[in-house]
Order: sequence, then C-alpha cells, then structure tokens
Amino acid sequence: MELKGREIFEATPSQIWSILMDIPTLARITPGVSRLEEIGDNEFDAIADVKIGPVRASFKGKLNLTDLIESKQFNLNVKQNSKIGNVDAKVGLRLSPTSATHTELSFDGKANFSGTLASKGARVLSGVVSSLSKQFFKELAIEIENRDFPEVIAESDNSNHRKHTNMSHEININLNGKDVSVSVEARDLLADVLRDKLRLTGTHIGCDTSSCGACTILMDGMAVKSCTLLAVQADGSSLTTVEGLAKDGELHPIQTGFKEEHGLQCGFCTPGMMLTAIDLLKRNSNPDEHQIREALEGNFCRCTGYHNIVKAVQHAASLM
Amino acid sequence: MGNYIGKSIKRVEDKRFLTGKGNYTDDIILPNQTYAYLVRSPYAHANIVKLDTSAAEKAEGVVKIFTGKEIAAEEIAGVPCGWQVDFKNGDTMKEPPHPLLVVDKVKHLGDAVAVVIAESKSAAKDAAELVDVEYDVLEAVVDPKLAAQAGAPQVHPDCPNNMCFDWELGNTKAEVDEAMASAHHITKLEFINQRVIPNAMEPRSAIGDYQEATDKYTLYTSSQNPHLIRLLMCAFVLGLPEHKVRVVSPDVGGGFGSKIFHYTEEALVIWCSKKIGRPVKWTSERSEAFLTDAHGRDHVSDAEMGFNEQGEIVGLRIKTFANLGAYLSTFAPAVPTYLHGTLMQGLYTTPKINIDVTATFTNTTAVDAYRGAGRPEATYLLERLLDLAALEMNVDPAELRFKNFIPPFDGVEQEGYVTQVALQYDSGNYAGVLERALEMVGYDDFRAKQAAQSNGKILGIGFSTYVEACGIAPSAVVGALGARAGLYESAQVRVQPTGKVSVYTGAHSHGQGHETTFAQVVADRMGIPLEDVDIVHGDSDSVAFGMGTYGSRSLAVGGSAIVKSIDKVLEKGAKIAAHMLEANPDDLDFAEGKWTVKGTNKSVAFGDVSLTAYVPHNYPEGLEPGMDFSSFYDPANFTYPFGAHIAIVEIDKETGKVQLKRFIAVDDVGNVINPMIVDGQIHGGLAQGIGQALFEGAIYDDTGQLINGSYMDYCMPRADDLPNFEVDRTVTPCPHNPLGVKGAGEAGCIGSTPAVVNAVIDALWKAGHKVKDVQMPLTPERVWTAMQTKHA
Repeated sequence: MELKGREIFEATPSQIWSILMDIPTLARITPGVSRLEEIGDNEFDAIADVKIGPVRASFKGKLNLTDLIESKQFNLNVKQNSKIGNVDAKVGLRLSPTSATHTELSFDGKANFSGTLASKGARVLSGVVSSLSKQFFKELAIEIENRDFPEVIAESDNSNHRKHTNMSHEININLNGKDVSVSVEARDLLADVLRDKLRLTGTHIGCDTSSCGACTILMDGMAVKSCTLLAVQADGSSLTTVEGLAKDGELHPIQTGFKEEHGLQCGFCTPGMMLTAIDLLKRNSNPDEHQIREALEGNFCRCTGYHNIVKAVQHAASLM
Repeated sequence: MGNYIGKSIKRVEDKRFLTGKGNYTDDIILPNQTYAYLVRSPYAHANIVKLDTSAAEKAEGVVKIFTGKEIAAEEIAGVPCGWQVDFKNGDTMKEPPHPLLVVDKVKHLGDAVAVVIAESKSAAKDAAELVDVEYDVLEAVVDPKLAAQAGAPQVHPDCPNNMCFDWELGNTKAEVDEAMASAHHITKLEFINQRVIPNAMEPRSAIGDYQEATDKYTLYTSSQNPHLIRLLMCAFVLGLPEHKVRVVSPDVGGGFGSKIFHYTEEALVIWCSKKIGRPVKWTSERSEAFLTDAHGRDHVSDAEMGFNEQGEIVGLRIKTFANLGAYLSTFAPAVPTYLHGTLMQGLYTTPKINIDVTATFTNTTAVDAYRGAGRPEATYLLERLLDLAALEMNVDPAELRFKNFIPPFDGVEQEGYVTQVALQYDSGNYAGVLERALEMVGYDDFRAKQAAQSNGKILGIGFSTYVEACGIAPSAVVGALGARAGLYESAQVRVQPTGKVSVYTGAHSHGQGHETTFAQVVADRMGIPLEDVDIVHGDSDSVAFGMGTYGSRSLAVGGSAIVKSIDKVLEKGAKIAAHMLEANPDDLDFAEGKWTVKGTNKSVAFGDVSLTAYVPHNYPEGLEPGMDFSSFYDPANFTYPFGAHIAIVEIDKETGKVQLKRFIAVDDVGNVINPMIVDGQIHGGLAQGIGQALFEGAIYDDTGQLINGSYMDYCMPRADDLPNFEVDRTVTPCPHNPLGVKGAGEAGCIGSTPAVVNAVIDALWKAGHKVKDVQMPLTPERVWTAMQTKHA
C-alpha cells in the first residue's frame, strides 16, 4: 500500500524536528503508541494499539530511523508484528519551509501487510492509515501550540494498554420460553454461550465475519446473528433458537416448508436460514421470489443453490 | 418392486437437522476435553529463525504446547499422498514431506508451526498470541506457470523447477500436429481456470481421544471418508494399530471434495491426545479454512481446436500447467491428469487429441479435488473452444455441436465408445439432451429477442454440453493409473429377527440424502416399508470398511454393494422360506415382501423368515442361522453422465454487471431413485459452477498473501445472485451396475461454468465487442473493460 500525506504547520522545520526527535513526546502524540523505547542508535522498541475496522490489535516490534538530515528529513523503517498480521513499512519524512513561519511536513512510502491484515483488513486499511495520519497531524499541531509551555511533558500514559477482562457476569434470558441464567465472560459471544454453555448446538458458527448467517437466532422476535452479539448484550431478552421452533412434537410451518420442498441438504445453514425466513414472514406474510431472495442474502447456503429454499419459504408462507 | 424407487420421497434425515439436533463434530464436547489452537505462518515462504513458546506456556489455562521439533523427534513422516503419477520419463513424481507442524521452513500462508492446547478455546487463542516466532521472509511463487520457469523461487529443495511431474495422454504430438495442419480453421486461446475455495458451510473440526486404559484411539472428524482417514493415519502417519482406532464422521456440513483428504490436524489431535492423556478438539475458524482447506481448480492452459471446412473437429491440442500448491494433498495428482486429461474427448468424435500437463508446486494452499475435480476444467476448455469457434466461423453453436456429437449408444446393443484418451464411455445419447434444452429455452425466439434488444442492456446465450466420468472407480483400472487405494465400496445388510433392516454403508452422507435414497432401494428390493430400514454410515466401529463419498460414487458404487448384500439375503431367505413352505426354492417367487409358491396362494412373509433365521428350531439342514451379509462391489467401469446446459445473461452496458436471467440444465444421470434429491444435487452444482463463472476466485498477491481470505472479500453466491433453475433430464441407464445409475453430485458444477462465460462472450460479440475471453470471475469491472474496446 502506498502511504502519502502532507500538512502545513505554524512552526519552523527545526522546531518540528525537535518535537519529532523527542521520544516521549513522539510516543504521546502518535496515535495508539503506548511504548516507545530507545534500544540503540535511532532504533526503538514499540508497542501500538490500533483499531482496524472492528478489531483492536496490539502491534509489537522495531522502528528505526535512517538517513537523518537534521531539520530536513529522515526515513522511518517499521517492522511490527501482531496476532492479526505483520506490517513492514518504509516511510520517508520531509520537512520543508513554506514561509518564514510555516513548514510543510510530508511523508511518502510503502507498507506491506501480511496475515489476516492482508486478507481481511485490506479494504479498511487505507481508511485506517489516513485517519491515523490525520490524528497524528492534529496532535502535532496541538503540540506545536503547547510548546510555549515547555515544562508540560510527562510520562506517557499507559492506560490504554490492553487489560484482561475475563470477569464473569450473570445474565438472565428467556430462552425458547424458559427463564435461564448463565454466567459468562464479558468477551463471550452469544453464539458460543448458546453452543458451549447452554448446549444448544443447533445454532452453528460458519464464519468469523458475521457474513454467513448460520448462527442466526431470534432476539425479541428479530433475526440477529448471534456471533455478532456479546452474550452480555442478550441480558434481559427473549431468545428463540432452532430448538425452540417445534412445539409439542409439531414442526413449525417453516420447518415443514423446508422438509416438503427439500430446502436443506447438509443441514448446517438450515437453522439460521429458517430463523431469518421467520423474521421475513413476520414482516411480509406473502413475499414474492425476489423479496425472499433479498431477505436471505445474509445467509449462505453452499448445497442447495437457494432454489428449493425459496420454495420452502413460499411453502411456509402458505401454511402460516 | 416400485413403491419407492423413482419417487420423491421426503428425506428421513431432515428431522434432526430441522430441529437443531444434528450432531456435527464441533457439537461434541467430551469429558475432560481440551482445545487446540494452531499458530500459523503469516508468510507464504519463510525460514523460521526463532520459535519461543516460553511466554505462552506460562499463560493462564495452557495445558501444553508442541512444536514441529517434538513431532520430528518421533520420526513422524507427515500426511501421505494417495495417488502417484509418474513423470513422462518414468521417474516417480516428487513427493516432498507434508509435516504435521513445520520445523524449518513454512511454504504457504497458514502453514502451522505450533499447537497450543488449553482448557478453553479462548485461552488457547490468547496463549497462541504469545508464541514468539521470528521469520526470515523469502521470495514466493504463486503462479503454476511461473513456478516452472528458471530462476523461480524454489518451494522444496529437491523439486527442481518446482516440478511435481509432467504427463501426457492421447495421440502423439506428431499425429495431432498433422491433423491440425490440415485444419480449415483453428480456434486458439489461453485459459485461466482460476483457483476457487470450496467453502463447505461447516468449518473442518477434529477431536482426538486416546484412552490409555483400553489403548484405544477415537478420532471424530468432519470427513467424507472416515475409513480412508483411519487407514492413512494408522499406516502412513502415526503408525497406529488400525484395529485400535475408531474414526467417526458424524453429521458433516457439506464437503464438495474439501473433506475427502487426510489433513494434518486429524493426525495432530490424535497424537496430542495421547501425549497429554486428554481429548483434544480443534475446530477451524473460517479465516483458517480459507488458508488450509484444500482449494480447487487453478489451471493455466493453452488450447487449440481444429475444424475442417464442414465444421467437424479434426484435432485438439492442450498444454496445461496445474497448480498443486505447496504440498501434495491426498488425491491432488489425479485431478489434472486422470480426471482431466481423460475427459478431452468430450461428447465429440474428435479423431486426434493430445494433452500435456505440467504440475508444479507453489507457495499457496494445496489444491485438490473440488466438486467435479478435473472434469469442470476439461469441460471449460472444450466448451469455451466450441462456442468461440462457432462465433469465429459464424456458425450456430448448437449446430456445431450436433455435427460433432458421438452417435447414441446404450452400452448393450451398441458397444461403449472408446475415446482417444483412455476411457470407454458406458452409454450416451448426447443429441437428446441438447434437443431438450433447446426446446426449453425457446431458441429461435431468443435469437429474435436478442437481435431486437435495445434498452441499454445486451443479451447473450451460452451453451455447454458435457460428459463426465464418475462412479469412481474400478480398482484395477485406477490402480494402473496410480491410485494407491482400491475404489470399491462395502455394504452390510443386517436383517434383525423382527424383520427390520440395518444397512451399514461405507459411503458417507454430508448432504446427499443417503439415509433416504439407500433406504428406498432396500425397501423396494425387500418389499418392506421404508420405516423398517435404517442406514448407518460414518463410524468405523459399526461400518466394517468403506471408501467414502466423492466422485459422485455413492449410489453407483455404494448402492450396488447394498444390492449385492440384499441379493444374498434374498437367496438365503428363499432357502428358509422353501423349508417353511415345504417347497423347492426354485419354485418360489419373491414379491412385495413375501415368498409365494408359484401358482398357489401359499406364502410366507419376510418377517417370518427373518425370525426363523434367528430362531432356527425348524430349519433347513446345514444352513447357518442368522441373516446378515456383507459385500464389496468393485465397479466394472466409471459411469458417464452427460448433459446440456444453457445460460442466458443480460449485461448492463453502463456498469458491465452480468445478470444471469435463465439457466437451463438437462442432465442424464442414468436411472433416478429420488428425483427430488437428484434435482437438489443439480441445483447445488449449478450454483457452484455459476459461482466460479461470475463471483468466486482466490486472489494471491506476489508475496503469497491470500488477499480475499474472508467472506467479506471472497464473493460467495447469495440467494439474490441466482435465478430459479430450469432443470430436466433424460434417462440413459448405466449398463454395468445393477441399479442403472450414474451419479448426479458433480454434473451441475461440471457443465455450468462455461455456459455462463459463453453467454457473456456471445452478448459481447453480438454488441460488436469481439473479445475472445474475459477472465473469470466475470466481475462488472472486467466485463465493462471488455466493452470499452471495439474489435473488428
């Protein structure tokens, strides 16, 4: 990915240089950086917490500065690793005066990403990079203003360091008509709690991006992807899973529809598919083919080509 | 016979899936179970400089961490390949080791370097983050053709030019050159059959459970063939006593080929379970599935088809580079060769054919059989060439096919058709399927409508007629072609004393509906109600042996094995019935579940006979009690389904977006036991084939990063991307198996892809853009770009 940006500041190149070369300050104004420690000549150990899309990742690794020309330019080489992938970047920073009082800071470089970052993050990365650089420029501008008070520099704030939050919470839900309380970790996803703690394994997990819909359940009557909700968010709500559809041994009309029209093959997507269809039929009791296909576009099926699923929903509509 | 066969009986397996009571591997939690998480390489090609697990070991909830060193120390070889293809010069193909965990050099993105075992999924994942791995990144190669070039990065040290093998089939190159030299017209194109990712909705999962007290191992795994996994794992990977190992594949959420293969994780959880003395579960996350499930296709081919002045095909020349990925998956070598090269005859009388294949290793995920496996790639080449030739020669694409079809043959009165590429087709009536498809589409009307179209949209029609080889496969034949296993199937029919019947099949159902289709066969053949039949599959402790489900083989091979066992039951039943009726077995008729003395009303019912077999107080002398028979069925030949697919597309001139308006599929899969299930199989195959044409494709960058490794980026076909399918069939029975069935699982996927692309090319030509090719998937951007050039 190309990295490029520029901004004009009300300061001289040497004033800006002094800020950039002041490690504690740099650490403080660079978004996400929680540690920046000099380990050698122009070589640093760094930790940064960065939010990429919905994911917050902790990056760890080395930075080094080369080709330093005081008050003019330096090259920044970044090698950072994280659980979601690695970044390898080379950026040149240049300071050039635009007037006696103003200086342009520009940067130009290239970043290579690997791992999940490359596979999933690619679409959001350019947005992240641009917002990070904007934030940095903003902080730098504030810092320049504040330089009138040179004593205001202190320890970097470590409060945004990741903490383990595996404290347990008691949640109360009405699950398929029965009141249930269950103790969960704050980070537990509802889908995992349903499957592993409450042992309702009809709710399936088919992806990790909230795309496939296999985990769809009804929450207070609305179809939701239970992999996208924390279990604590379900506290106080009424949930229906596939296990709650048949009553007294009688199949729900949607189940009958899927059986009669051969709307399922391997059965993995079926629970989520049916619960999404119930949500549709509640809003529209007689949907046409196009409306059914649109309503089901958040649920993947790899077996049926959707042909018989559409018929199954129409069949159910005729029964309901 | 006839209460059930041929009828759309509703599926007996549905209830458990509809009520959330399916039992998939990840649904299982064993007592005292631990959870494994794999530390995987973020690079496609790199040396491991440092691997430090000390911080991770101290993390909360961690039970144990293993790296490749511990496994290598026990001299565990890694997972084997089940199919051997030799180089043209006779040398054995290159088979680099595929270790359970990598020790020195990672060779593709997602290659596993360590396994963290912990008390919970999240603890394992947290700790995995603390495993410190330092890599020295190497240059990678991802393209199968570039991999074979001098100077390309070398994936394995002992595979020069990344070659696994080269291979050739058919007439000699000189013969084909001569035929092509005489051609009036040659259609020529370089095709890229892009890599696709199978994406069964259930991610792979495996649980290893070693019990020291009994010295027994149990592996639960989401596999299409549990017995083969057991055999490979015991004999080639871990050296375990096979009789002490049970492999269970419970409900499996789709496979499409990707769950045939023996994966490293299966052996790893068993090995780890023995080490730590507790069950170990691993379940793939979707991101992991993108990197580690075997992928499909990925061929680069140069193809040329020559025609004489009358439009008859005179020769075909193909050169294919096949990407095998970084390691050899279980059946990978068979795909570009014996499942691809052997299909180059198509349904045509082409007199001279030569196919040459070079298979290379690259820094990518392994490539193996994916729905159709080789046959879709072959069909893509042939059918694209035919429609393009029709455009170039300005003849009708349907007419061009009729002119070249092999004449009908039933395999009984007329002999099977011997191809130039090593097969003998069993039976076929190729013109029949195309005639029916043309009728359904209303061909003449369509062409008139196409010429009149003027609303900012352009219309196109594409054809694809295919024949494929499935019902895999005669053991001796595939053995001669390199298979390291037989490809028969086994079945046991156990009649219980009360006349209820349990059937144990080595085939495995992961969506195909065997519990219904097989029961229909059994109930009809035995004259008993469907409810009296139970089909058992997927557990090596109950099913004696099996080769599993792939290659559209379950009914043709597995079903035939069941029929063999039923025949044995009925033969013995007749002896018992004759004794009970005081008649000669030859004087009995068996129909509707009873034996009747010919010409009388004296009869005895199946249930009475089975009870007598288990309570043999008054019993034929010398006859063993009981009613329980096993059989193995080894087919005489492959089966050869065929069909005609027609796609109609509408392209938006402003955006290049392709809308699939209609899809007509007429398939001939031989006799049909359950039309509803067969149609369902065709629908699913069509969606995957159309998916490859319009939406899907794995994208690796030059460094070997899979840059669309998630559902946010890899375009899966959704409900609103596809039309209702118009399907029909003709029936040309298979002459060499007792049910006359051929196989329906892959047909839809094999025929559909070229039909869609041909339709887009047709639309473009008719609108004046004479492009020969648009690379799949046909995204709006690619189609729009193609429309920006005016071609002569």
